[in-house]
Amino acid sequence: MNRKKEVIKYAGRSIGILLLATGFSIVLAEAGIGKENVLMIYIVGVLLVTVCTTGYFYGALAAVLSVLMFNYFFTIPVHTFAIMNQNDVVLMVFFLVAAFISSSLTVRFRKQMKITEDTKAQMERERLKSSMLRSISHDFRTPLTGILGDAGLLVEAEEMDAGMRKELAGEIQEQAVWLMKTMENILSMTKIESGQSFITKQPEVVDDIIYEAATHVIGLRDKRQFEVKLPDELVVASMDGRMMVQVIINLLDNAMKHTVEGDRIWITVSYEKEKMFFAVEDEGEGISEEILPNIFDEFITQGAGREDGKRGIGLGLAICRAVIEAHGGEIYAENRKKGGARFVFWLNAEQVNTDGR
Amino acid sequence: MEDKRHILLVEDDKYIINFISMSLKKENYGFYIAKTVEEAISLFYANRPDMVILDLGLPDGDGMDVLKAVREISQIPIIVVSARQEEQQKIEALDMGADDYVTKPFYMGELMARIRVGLRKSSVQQQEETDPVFVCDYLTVDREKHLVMIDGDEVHLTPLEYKILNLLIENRGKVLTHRYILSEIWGSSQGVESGNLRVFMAALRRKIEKEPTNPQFILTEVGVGYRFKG
Repeated sequence: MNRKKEVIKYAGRSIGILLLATGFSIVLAEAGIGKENVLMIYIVGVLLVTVCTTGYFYGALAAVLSVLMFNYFFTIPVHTFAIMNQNDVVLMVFFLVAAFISSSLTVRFRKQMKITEDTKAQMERERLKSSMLRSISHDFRTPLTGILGDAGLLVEAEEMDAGMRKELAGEIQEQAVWLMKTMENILSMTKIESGQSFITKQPEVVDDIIYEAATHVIGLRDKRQFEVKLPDELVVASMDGRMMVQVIINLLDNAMKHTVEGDRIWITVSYEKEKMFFAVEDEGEGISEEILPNIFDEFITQGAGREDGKRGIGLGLAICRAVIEAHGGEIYAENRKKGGARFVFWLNAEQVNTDGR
Repeated sequence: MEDKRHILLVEDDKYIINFISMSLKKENYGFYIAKTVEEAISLFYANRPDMVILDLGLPDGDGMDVLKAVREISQIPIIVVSARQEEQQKIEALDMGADDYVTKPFYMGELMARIRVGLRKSSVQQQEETDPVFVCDYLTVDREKHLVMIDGDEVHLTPLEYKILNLLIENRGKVLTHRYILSEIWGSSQGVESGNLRVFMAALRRKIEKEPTNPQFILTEVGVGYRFKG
């Protein structure tokens, strides 16, 4: 279907250009301009056709049509395809040769241009990819060093009290969990960047998604006051369950990172006009004004070189945005007036009554 | 020592074998270790373990073959432990007869809890079949009188919700895929949308869970199915 449309578009353009050239030539001929110059106008016409279409075909077709038109309108006897003068034959043959050569050169030139552009874009992609890999391997190095160090201590220390051992093991665990989550995010990011549709939607009940996400955030229920407020009616939305779980995990992880023990973190789900709004809020330190406008961009993190393992590589929120947008929703961030951050996103949804209809 | 339970661990990574077997020893389980499909099948026939922990990516083939071979002659609990995390693969393994699916990386505590549930289920199943009253924490289901009670107070369930709850209880500890539940409850998985099932489950959960967003009984395996814990 597309191909048909394309043919019609290009053929239309070619015919339009040729008609214009012919009209213009007739006007010039009336004004007493010679045949040779009329052919020049047709050459320009053929070149224009080559520029406005793709491939060799339309240029060649335009050259042949031009010759026929020239023959019909400008060679004696006029308004016939007969030729009396041998000069006209020579003229027309050379016109054809010139038109073919110039149009094929134009086509080739355009191809070359396109190749150059593609290579440039590809080089740019490669550059981004390698800088991403570099930053990832850099970010992995720190926790790996920590793990190696802690493990080394455990292996070598002949006598170490139980408390110390437990602390080291706990640190290893913490860092391994960080690596695991980061790997999960990188995986999602590559899925998103590969460009193919990475979302498989199914109707999901919000309760499930939030529960699943909350169980993956360590310390959420025992080190923070975590609450979920759901609407009384069940809300069902069409979504990629696993991706959405990851969005909420990332938001909760962020909230964990920017709060301290005992702080409140809460999720509020509300339904309004076919839309489901999720708000993840905390009463932590909030978002600094300088990163707020770009907070959903890749590799944006708050306060480089943080202490106590609260590092991040700035992929989490970029993934959130990509996933929410792929679902046709929106996500935004703001600071709460009473302190702390608020992340809100919405998805299209419908409310169902509990009879399941 | 007669009743020591034996577990067949099928896994080819030495570090994982190491820490799983250390934990099994600590919990006083006996175990056999198989590193290939072939070894797993022959160890299974020779020793008839009480449970299988199965990795899917094995050097000489697919762990699914072990699953098939075991299921041909035995209904012992099988827990699949795998790095494959696509829902489709989980569903496939569960439909093939696996009881549970744990994705790597996992916490040892999580795996041990699931082993306990699996083993307990297989040992108490027979005697419980005859007992019409099921009690778990604050939930009581009287299958003779068709009564469901929370802390002794009756809760009204629709007939479908009651059917689903019973199915889950009968298979507790086991992950039931959407398709399995649909075909058990509606007779076929055709024509009933799995979205509807999710709604029923959420409604049921709101009726029997004290804290529906932190459920004690009905756990969701997103994209795969449900499991009754307890």
